[in-house]
Amino acid sequence: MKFFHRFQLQLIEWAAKRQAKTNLDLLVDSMANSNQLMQLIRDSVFRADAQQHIDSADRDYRAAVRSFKDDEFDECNEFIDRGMLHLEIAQFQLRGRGDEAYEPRFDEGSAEHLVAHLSRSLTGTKLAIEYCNCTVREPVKNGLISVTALFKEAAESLLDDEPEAARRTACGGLLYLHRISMQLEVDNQRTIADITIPHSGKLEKRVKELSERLASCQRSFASAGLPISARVRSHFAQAERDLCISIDNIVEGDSEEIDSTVSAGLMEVKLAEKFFLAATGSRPEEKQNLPMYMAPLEFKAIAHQLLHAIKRMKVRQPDLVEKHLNAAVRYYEAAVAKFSQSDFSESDRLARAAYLDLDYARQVALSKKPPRYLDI
Amino acid sequence: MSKHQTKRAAAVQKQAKLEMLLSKLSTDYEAATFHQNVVVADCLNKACAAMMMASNHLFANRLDQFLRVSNGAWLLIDFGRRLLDADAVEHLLGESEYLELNETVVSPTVSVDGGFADLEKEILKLRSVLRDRKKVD
Repeated sequence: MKFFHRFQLQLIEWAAKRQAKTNLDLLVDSMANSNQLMQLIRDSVFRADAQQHIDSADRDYRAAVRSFKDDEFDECNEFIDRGMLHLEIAQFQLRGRGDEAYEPRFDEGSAEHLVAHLSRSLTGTKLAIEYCNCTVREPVKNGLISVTALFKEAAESLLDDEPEAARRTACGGLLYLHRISMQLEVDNQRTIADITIPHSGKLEKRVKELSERLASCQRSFASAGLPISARVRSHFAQAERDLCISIDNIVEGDSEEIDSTVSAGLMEVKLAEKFFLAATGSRPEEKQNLPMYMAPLEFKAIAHQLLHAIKRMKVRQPDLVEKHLNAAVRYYEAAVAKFSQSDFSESDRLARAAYLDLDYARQVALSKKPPRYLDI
Repeated sequence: MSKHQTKRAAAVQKQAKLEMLLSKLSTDYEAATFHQNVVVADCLNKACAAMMMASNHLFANRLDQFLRVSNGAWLLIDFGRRLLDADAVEHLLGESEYLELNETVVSPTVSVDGGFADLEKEILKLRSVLRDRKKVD
């Protein structure tokens, strides 16, 4: 019985050795064919790429021979298999002409399909903008940069085997791009890029609705040709913020808040439209009640941010910058207060003082020359 | 041929084709001396790493993982190609005013200067409204 078992094992090993030897011969033949092909197709565009694979196949062949000598036939076959794959790729590449197009077929509605759609839409928008030489304001440009970042994030999610995250990110990118295309249309008074969002659900449609309402509101502002009051601007800005929050929520997969955020955004658009209509109404007293300048709180907030940035820059006299910046804020607040009291002369004097202090602060922060008051 | 063998043969062809697309994109990018698009360079780097990952899956016979990673690589290569082609069109037919899609680092001085300019603009706006009101009065 023992003898029979030993005989059986020897038979299996003999068969494995024989198989490995046959496979090694096949690899050698294939290597010869590849080298011959290299000689024949000397002007191949992908010669360098193919050569790399042939070199890899050569390394695999040597490793396979070592394994064969050590009677490691399974390992030997693995190296042969790798070598054969390298040669298959090399032979395919050697026959390539360089003008081959290739596009994998993605299932409709798959994450890959959506990411590819984002890629086409984004590059199409870039091409259209460059072709039309149209106006691209800084926020639009920054928006396009954000969409590019979202595309890269979506592609990386696919590489990390997170198709759901990729789908959400691509969808967010398309929604941002949709808003950007609407903004471009408003700024240039013509359609630059038409962005579609395939397989969009209820929430995506709601976000799109807010985006369209924002654009329609901007069109009304533009057609009226009147200055927009701070109140209207503030409601409009809040609606834009709500849109961004909704899109971020889609990207994060946090769908609970989206509906209410979009509703709040739509409400803000409505308010902006309402106050704008009131300002363009026939009664002059309505017009006078609506300020056309930045709210003091907003002015103060920007000045505050500016001061933080200046302190980070480590300028020579940060205290002096702060003193004059604060003075500018105080003068601006007072100027607005006097404006609402219809004391226009005093308001103008204070606004001038605000300008002088602001300019002085700028000189201290940024100029190498000694600062001086420069009137406007 | 078994189903697995068919799938494997298709995967080998896909790997070969993607490597060719990547190689062509890289050559064309280097030749495009008129404009070095940073986003294309980034796509090339990322696609290169993805192709390496894809080939590892292919040689280890993990075909499902290969499919996923190679799709991601194709998306990066295709995006880079589209951007490069758009730049070439702008270079040949346009005014070489490229729309950059990468984040540019703005120096703090420029950003602070912009902040001051914004606030000054608001004061000037207020003064302009004041002038209009004075005229009405």
